[in-house]
Amino acid sequence: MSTTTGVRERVESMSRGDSSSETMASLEVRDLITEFRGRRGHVRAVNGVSFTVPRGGVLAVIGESGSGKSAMLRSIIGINPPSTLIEGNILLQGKDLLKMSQRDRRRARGRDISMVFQDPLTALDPVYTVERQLVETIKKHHEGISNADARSRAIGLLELVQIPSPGARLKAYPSELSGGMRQRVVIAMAIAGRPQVILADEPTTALDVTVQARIVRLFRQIQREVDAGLVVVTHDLGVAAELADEVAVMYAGRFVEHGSATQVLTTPSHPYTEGLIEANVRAGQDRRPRAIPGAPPSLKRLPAGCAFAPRCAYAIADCWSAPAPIRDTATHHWSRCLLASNAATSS
Amino acid sequence: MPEAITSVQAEQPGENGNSLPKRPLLELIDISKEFDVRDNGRRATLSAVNEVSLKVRTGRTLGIVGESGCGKSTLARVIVGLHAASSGEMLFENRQIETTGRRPRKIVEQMQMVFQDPSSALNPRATVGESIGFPLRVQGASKKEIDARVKQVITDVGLPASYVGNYPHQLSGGQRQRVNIARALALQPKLVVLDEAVSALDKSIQAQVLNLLADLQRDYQLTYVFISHDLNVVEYISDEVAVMYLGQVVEEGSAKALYENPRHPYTQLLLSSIPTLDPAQSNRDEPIGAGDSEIPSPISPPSGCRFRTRCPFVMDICSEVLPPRVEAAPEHIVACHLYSEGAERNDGAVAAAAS
Repeated sequence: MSTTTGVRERVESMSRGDSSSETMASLEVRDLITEFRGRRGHVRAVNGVSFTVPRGGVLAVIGESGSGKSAMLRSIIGINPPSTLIEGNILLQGKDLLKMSQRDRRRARGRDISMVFQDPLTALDPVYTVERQLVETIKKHHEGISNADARSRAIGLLELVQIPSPGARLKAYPSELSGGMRQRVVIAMAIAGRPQVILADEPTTALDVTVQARIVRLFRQIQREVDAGLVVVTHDLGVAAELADEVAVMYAGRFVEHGSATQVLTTPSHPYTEGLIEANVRAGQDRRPRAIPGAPPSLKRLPAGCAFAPRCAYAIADCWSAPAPIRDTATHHWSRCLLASNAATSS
Repeated sequence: MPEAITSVQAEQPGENGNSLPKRPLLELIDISKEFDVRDNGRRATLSAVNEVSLKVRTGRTLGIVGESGCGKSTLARVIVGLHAASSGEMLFENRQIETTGRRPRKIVEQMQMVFQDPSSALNPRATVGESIGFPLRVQGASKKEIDARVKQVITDVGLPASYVGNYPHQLSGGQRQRVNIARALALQPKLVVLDEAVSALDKSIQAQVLNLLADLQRDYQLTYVFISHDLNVVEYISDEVAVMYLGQVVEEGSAKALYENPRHPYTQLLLSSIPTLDPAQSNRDEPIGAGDSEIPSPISPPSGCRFRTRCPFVMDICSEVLPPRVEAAPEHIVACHLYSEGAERNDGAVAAAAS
């Protein structure tokens, strides 16, 4: 019991440390729990996640499918099924989204916090032009704005996301645009209300590699320009490396490692992160990619100890008996692993 | 209707064929596939695959890369006979096979395909054993033969034999793709066409399936056509690689030569778009250059070189003449005017721009 309290204190002190200058934090999430409740039992998809994203900063959350990363994003924006239990704090400028009225929360959505989904075709309405959808979004966020002003704002947004001849593109239907152009329109809609936080769920997975390279860079630059915090969920470590300042690794509903993008991706301290990196086929690679053995655990039956122990090559007896502690491995870099050590002190 | 199989060469592939491992198992000659479509209400022709010639060597892997709409999946379907080609010829084991109509079952059996989405490729109401055994049943094999073969291939793909009675929904994505591979292997094909076969899988599972494919190829001398948009995976698994753009092959060569020394400006663009895994090596904060990243429509592709609208080295000739296939280095073919005769001077410029 004492270890859990210690962990919590440390997590809280870390987030407090990050958000010491109150104005800097765009989003602060504390001990988020998402539990899908069904007749045949409850599934805890997110199991106590805490993090802070500063304005202008990018946190990438990486992990395999089923790790809970999308459920986490959906909980933050508030689009889970009504039967979902959500606990913890989601603080936006000190205000807790989970304690707001439905009306206030709906108002915040899109204006203060917005989301970009994987598939731009489902995010856009196929029967309306880009203009209609964009202008509608702008009017929702700027009450009393005239049609002409909304339209010129829409053109400005399309210019910001580098859509060529934006005036002509306004008249287009989503089906008339390429995948990359559609995702730019979606990004334009996401920044229309000048949100403090943008959430993105696999924003470039559906795109071709040459388009992805441009959209990722564009996304990073725009998010800085509008000074919003960005939380991006991806299974693609390359996207995380190209986009993020910080990287968190999620496994079985929890962050198991968190640090700067460079720390996590080049000097991982959790065996799961190491496994994810080793499984990637890199440019010029001759040796066989090393797969992580086994599959992620069922969230209905999590092991008593470390959730990764059954797949971990380094696991020792203690890993199976008690939950793994959080260990600092460097400044602003921690790992939920019994065997992780501080590189500075151990060497 | 021409006879489906005609021997085009006096020399038949014999028992000594194994002494020539580089002999092509499959050869495509000027394969084209066009679709009749409607473009703004008018009839139009979409040229999905345009005069593609490729060789796939026995026991080797030919990788095909390119962005969506480049025709790589259409080409895969033409190879296995799911689409009839509009024109062109195909040689399989030095015999000409039907490309524009139905093929005899004997040929169909020897070329199998594995699709991207492991779930939709399986009948949800059929058990794993039924799905894998289905092609054998079609062939008229006895129950005993089917059971033995199913047990063999399910073990070959690394699944427990007890899974035969399971339904697809009881399996994970990676396991389902193993079932699809097992079904493709049930008839002991010589050629397996893998169309984005590992793209929908998590990286850790993808690594398992890639290793499985390598083992199966070694154990059964399989020949693969591996189609993917993942450039690193294609480099790793392929012996030879062809790069497609708007229905045409713009560059082909050994995986090593093509990735180490890409010649075509499109290949260079593709390879430079691969994200790095190290933020320090990323150019993410450099301004994004102008230039149109849009792929033109295959309904009215650009004249001459189809890549010219996006090419940083575009010249006058590019819009007028279709670039010929030039052997830029031994076994390394590129279709680009920069490498045509009289344009050698540009070689240095392109190489410099690529580095």
